[in-house]
Parts: sequence; structure tokens; C-alpha cells
Amino acid sequence: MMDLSCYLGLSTLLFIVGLFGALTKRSAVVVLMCIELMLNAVNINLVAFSRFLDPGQLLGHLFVIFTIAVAAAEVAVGIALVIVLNRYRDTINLDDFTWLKG
Amino acid sequence: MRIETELLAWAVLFLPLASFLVISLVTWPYKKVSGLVTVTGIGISAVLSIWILSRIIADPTPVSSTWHWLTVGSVKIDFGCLIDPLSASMMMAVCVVSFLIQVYSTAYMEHDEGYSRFFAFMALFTFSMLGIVLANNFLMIYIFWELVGLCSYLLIGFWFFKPAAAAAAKKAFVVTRFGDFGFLLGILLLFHFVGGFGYGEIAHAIESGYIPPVWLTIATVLVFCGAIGKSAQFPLHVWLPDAMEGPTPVSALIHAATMVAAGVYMVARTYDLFHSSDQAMLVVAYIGGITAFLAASMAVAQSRMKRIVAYSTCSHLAYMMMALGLGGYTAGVFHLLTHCFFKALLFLSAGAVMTLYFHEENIWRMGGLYRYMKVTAIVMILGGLSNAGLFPFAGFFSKDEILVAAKESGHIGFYWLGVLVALFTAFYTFRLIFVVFFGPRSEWSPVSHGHGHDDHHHEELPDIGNPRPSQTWKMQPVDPAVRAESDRHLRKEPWAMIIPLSILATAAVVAGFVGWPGLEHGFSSFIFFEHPHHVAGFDIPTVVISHIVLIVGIGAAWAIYGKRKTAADPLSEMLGPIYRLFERKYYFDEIYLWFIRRFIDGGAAVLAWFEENVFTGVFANGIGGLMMEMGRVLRLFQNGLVQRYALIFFLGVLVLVIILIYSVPGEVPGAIAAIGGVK
Repeated sequence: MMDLSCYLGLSTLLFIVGLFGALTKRSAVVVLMCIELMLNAVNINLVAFSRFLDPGQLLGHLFVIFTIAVAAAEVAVGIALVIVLNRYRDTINLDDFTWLKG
Repeated sequence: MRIETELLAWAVLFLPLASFLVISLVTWPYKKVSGLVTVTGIGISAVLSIWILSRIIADPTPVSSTWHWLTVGSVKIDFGCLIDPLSASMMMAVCVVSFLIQVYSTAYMEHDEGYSRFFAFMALFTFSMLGIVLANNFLMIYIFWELVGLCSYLLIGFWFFKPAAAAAAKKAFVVTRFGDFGFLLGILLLFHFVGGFGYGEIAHAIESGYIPPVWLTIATVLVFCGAIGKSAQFPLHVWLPDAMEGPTPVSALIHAATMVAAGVYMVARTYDLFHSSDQAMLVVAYIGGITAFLAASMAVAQSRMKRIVAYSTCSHLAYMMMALGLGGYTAGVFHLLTHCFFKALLFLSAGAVMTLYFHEENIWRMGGLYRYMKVTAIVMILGGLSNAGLFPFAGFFSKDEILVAAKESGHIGFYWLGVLVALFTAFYTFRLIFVVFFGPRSEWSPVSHGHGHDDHHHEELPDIGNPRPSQTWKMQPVDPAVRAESDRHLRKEPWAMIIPLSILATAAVVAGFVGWPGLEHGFSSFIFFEHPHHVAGFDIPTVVISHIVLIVGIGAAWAIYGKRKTAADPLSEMLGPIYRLFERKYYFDEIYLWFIRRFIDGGAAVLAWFEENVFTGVFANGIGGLMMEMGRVLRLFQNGLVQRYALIFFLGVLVLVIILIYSVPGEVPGAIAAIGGVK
């Protein structure tokens, strides 16, 4: 029997993988992908809570669709930024972009 | 009638201020006009003050006029004048002496660049002094007291380009500040107990016993500190002789006739206070007695003309203090008034000698001047006789009254001290006169040493002290032709000097008659404390004793100086080390300087170290350095690496979540319960 904790365990795993990738990967594109992973981990959470704690209501599902839409927009902006950075410095290694340091 | 008297008093007070404002705002570029403004302003004041005095003599009821000035909380502060026999007489003396000195100054300051400035300051000074005289409360007297101190500073340092004058001005200001600080503390202490500043309120509070006796004594002694500073009493007397660096009319006005009299006047004015505390009275008497002796003995061995007269002033003021301290209210005040005239006369005639004699001040460079300046010599001898107290000169009546008061008080030691001081007084006064006007001319010739008579700001005189017979006189022997040439430059006294000198000389001769003992409506039934002090007649033993010491003093001066052959002080050989002690003023300046160097400078060094290391080092630079260091460390976190930021951000969120979960103790938060509990 699949209960809520199974879904939460999956989403936690997914989130940790995403976080690890976002914090460690050099490539900006991979980092963006990892952020998507983290968002999807959250989406799983939302759907699971909606299904188990509040059955019959679609509030969680609605929220997930909303998140997917926002994530799509975010990726669009993120990829655009990466392209610009690449043009500018000829690399997408995040460690090279340290212009804001004090 | 009454209202008019008050208005007159306000006019007397504010006319000199108006003169000051007119000169400093309008007429300062025009020398003659400025002098005229002050002379006119103070002249009118003098006439009005005589008028007021005549009214007060006719009807001695005190008149007062008060403006409400400030309200601070429940305290009302007034600005008012009090006209009674004491203040009316003092006002008259201040105005008349000041007027005569202004007239004299028009001649004395003739060639000075700062002519207008001089007259502006003199007018301001007269205003401040009149303010002290007319004040009817402690706050007002304190304000004018400080104003007088300021004027004194400005006028002593009038020739501020002379280093000695600048130093003397500073010294006078700083030394009197010690006294003024005590004065202020005393006033505040009285205010604490009484809740007001008015003389009347304080007298009333003393009578009703609101003030505990110990505190009353402390407050009185503190108030007396102000008088010690202003009247140059021991141990704050050191500023007065140095103050002679100012122009001579300043010395005459401020350091003889009026400002230094302010201390004595203040004690007389607030006699209710002093009279209520026996200990404070004793302090006054002892300070007076000590100063009278010290100053008189120092005067014996000075070589500069004005300094001799300055020490004489110091000694006479101390005499008055002594009289007041011994309960001789009438005697002290009487001496204050007569002293105004004869001391101003002595100063002005000394100034006349100096002006005519090429601004020379050292008496050993004079001698035999009688032939050249007869008028000055005669008035100076009259002033000297009054100073020494010969019958029937003014000084005689007041000085003998002080001696009688000392005798009546039962302090017989003070009586003999007074007699001793009188002996010194006669001696040093006539030492000055004999050396300057009689005997041989000194070998010194002003012209041969490059002094023209218009050379007003002459070079600084090295203080050569008194030449010893054993010393070779440093000057070259004078060529008779050069001497004759220099003597031709000796001018005659101008009328602007002769007239004030003659008036003052007349006053110095006759002013004493109002205090003739036994006179029915004389001075003692006009100014008194509580009840009139009637004397049946002369106290014959005192008169005899004081004349014996007078004759001994003058005789000794004549024996030593009248027939001297050289420009040297024979006394220095006779007295030896004691003379040296007198001449060096008991080493007071040296002791004070030593004390300042040793303790004050040491304390200042400790404080400076503290300031540098603790305040600057620990607080200012320390806190700044800490911030800089923290910034330097924290800057390491801002490395521009986005992922590092994200990690920190994540950790922060984690911490927040943990805090949120465990923030409510003993209750498992809903989310965790939901996770664990729902299938």
C-alpha cells in the first residue's frame, strides 16, 4: 500500500538530488536543470498532500499546474541569460562569473 | 520724586553703555569725537549721580526699582537697582573718578592708535562697575562682575602687541577666575537654600534661620572667594601688580579706584550674609590682615612706579577687608570711598610723570624731577600724605577709623598689625616721592637711549630691579649736553591732566571731613549696618600712635632716600635677604609656577595620557578598528560565487524551518503530525 510517506520520500530524494546538482555543478545549464528537479520535487509534494490530506479538492493540482507554468517561464529567462553570458565570456562555467564579489 | 530717582539711576547706569555702543558702532573712526562721547556720557552720569546722592542724603530711605526679567520654573529673576546710602555714595565715587580719569585720558592717550577703542572699553567698564554698584540681587551682581572681569582683561591687554601686557591680561583673567568660581558656587548654594537671588530674600532667609549655620558659613566663605579674586587679596593677589602693564588711566580707574573696590563693595553690600557667620567674618579679617602686611612690605622694595602704587592699593583694600571682617562696617566703607580719590590721584600723577618723562617707569632712572613738573609733584605729595594718613587729609580719617574699629572689636593683634602697615605705608609712599622728585638725577638719559617723547609704544623695559650700591650702574655716564637736550624735551603738564589732578587732590584733602568723629550728621550716621555707629570724638591714643608711625616712616624715607647720592637703593644693603624677599614678592609667582609645573602639569599629563590611550585608543580607534576587522572578515563571504550564495541561502532556510518546528515547546506541529498520522 502506497501511503503519503512514500511520496514524500520520493520528493525528498528528488529535491536533494536537485539541490546537490544546483550547488555543485559547474555548467549553468545543468544548474538550471537541477532547479527544475527541485521544482518537480515540490510538485510531487503538492499533489501528494492534495490527494491524501484533502481528497476531493483540486487545490494542490491547480497549484502544480501553476508552478509548471512559472517554471517554464523561469527556464526561458534562465536559458536566455545563459546564452547572453556565453556570448559575453565564451563560457557557461558559473565559477567564472564572480563580478559581484566585494 | 521716588520714581524720578529710579529713572535717574537707570540713566546713570545706561549712559556709559550708550557711549560704548555709539563709539563702537558709529564714531570709532573719529578719535576726537569718540573721546568726547565717553567724556560727555560719563560726565552726565557723574552729575546725575551727585544729584541722586544729594537726594539720598536728604531722605536716606532705600529706593529700589525692579524689572521682571526671567521666570524659570517657580523662580523669578529680577533685574533691578537698589539705591541706598551705600550704593548712592559708591555710584557717585565711581562716576566722578571715572569722569576725571576720562578727561585725563584724552591727554594721556593722545598719540595712541587705539584711542577710540580705549574710550569704548572705558565706557563699557564704567557701565559694568555701575551695574555691580546698583545690583539688587546676586545673579545681577555676578553678571556685571564677569563683565568687569572682561573689561579688565581687554584694558590690561590694551597694548596687546606687548608680550608682557598680553601675559598680564591673561594672568589677571585666569587668577580672578579662581575667585569667581567660588563666588558662583556660593551664589548657587545660597540659591539652593533660599530659592531666590535677591539680597532682601537672602537677608530674610538668614533671619528666619532657613539656612543651616554650617552651610551659611560655607556659602559666605565661597562668596568671599569672589572678593578675594577681584580685590586682589592673598592668595590671589598676584595678578594686580602685573596688571600695571595696561595704560595708566586703566590702572587708575580699574586697579585702584573701582574694579578692585568691587570686592570690598560686594562684602559691604551683602553684609547681612557676612555678619551672620562669625567664622566667615574671621576669615575676612585674617585674609585682610595678611594681605595688608604682605602687600605693604612688597611695596617697600619695588622699582617700578606703578607697581609701588599697585601694592599700596592691594594693601589698602586689605585694610578695608580687615575693617569689614572686624565689624567696622562704616570704617571699611569710608576708607573705600576716600581711597577711590587719593589712589586715583596717585596713579594719575604717576602716569603724568611717566608721560612727561618719556614713558619711563623705573624710579631709579628718575630723581630730581620736582623742578620739571611742579604741579604733578605737589599733587602727588598731597596724594601721598593722604595715602599715608596725615591729619587732616582724607586718608587720615578713614584709616584711623579702621584702627579704632579694630581696637573696639577686641582683636588687639589686628590693631597693631594695622599700625605696622601704616608705618610701611608712610615709608614706601615717601620712598617713591623722594626718589622720583628729589635727590640727584640718575645717570640715565632717555634721549641718549633713543626714546623720543612721541615714541609711545616704547621698547620693552628689561626689569632691572633695584640697583645695588655694589653693582655698577649699567648705563653709560651721560654727556651734560645730551642731558640738557633731553631735559628740553620734558613737556609741561597739559591742562587736561592738571584739572583732573587738582580736583582729585582737593578731594583727597577734604573728603575726610564728612567723617569727622563726633559730627552729628556725618558719615557714620549715613552709612551704617543695623544701627549708627556714633563716635564721641577722636580716639587720642590712636591718633598719636598713627602720627608717630607716620613721622617715623616719612623720616626714615627721608633719611635713606632724601640725601642719596647714587641711583641705587641703600635699603637693599641694610635689609639684605629680607629686602630680596620683598623685592621678589615673597616668591609667590615662583611658588605658583612651581606648583603649576609640578602638579597641574603632571595631572594634565596623566589626563592627556588617559585621553590619548583610553579615549582615543580604546574607544575611538578601538571601536573603529573592530568594525574594520569585522568588515574584513565578512567580506570573505561575498565571493561572487552564485552557488556558494545558494548554499548559504539554503542553510538559512533550513535553520528557519528548524526554529519554526521547535518554536512551540511541548506541542508537535501540525505538519509533522499530519505526516506521521495520516494514511
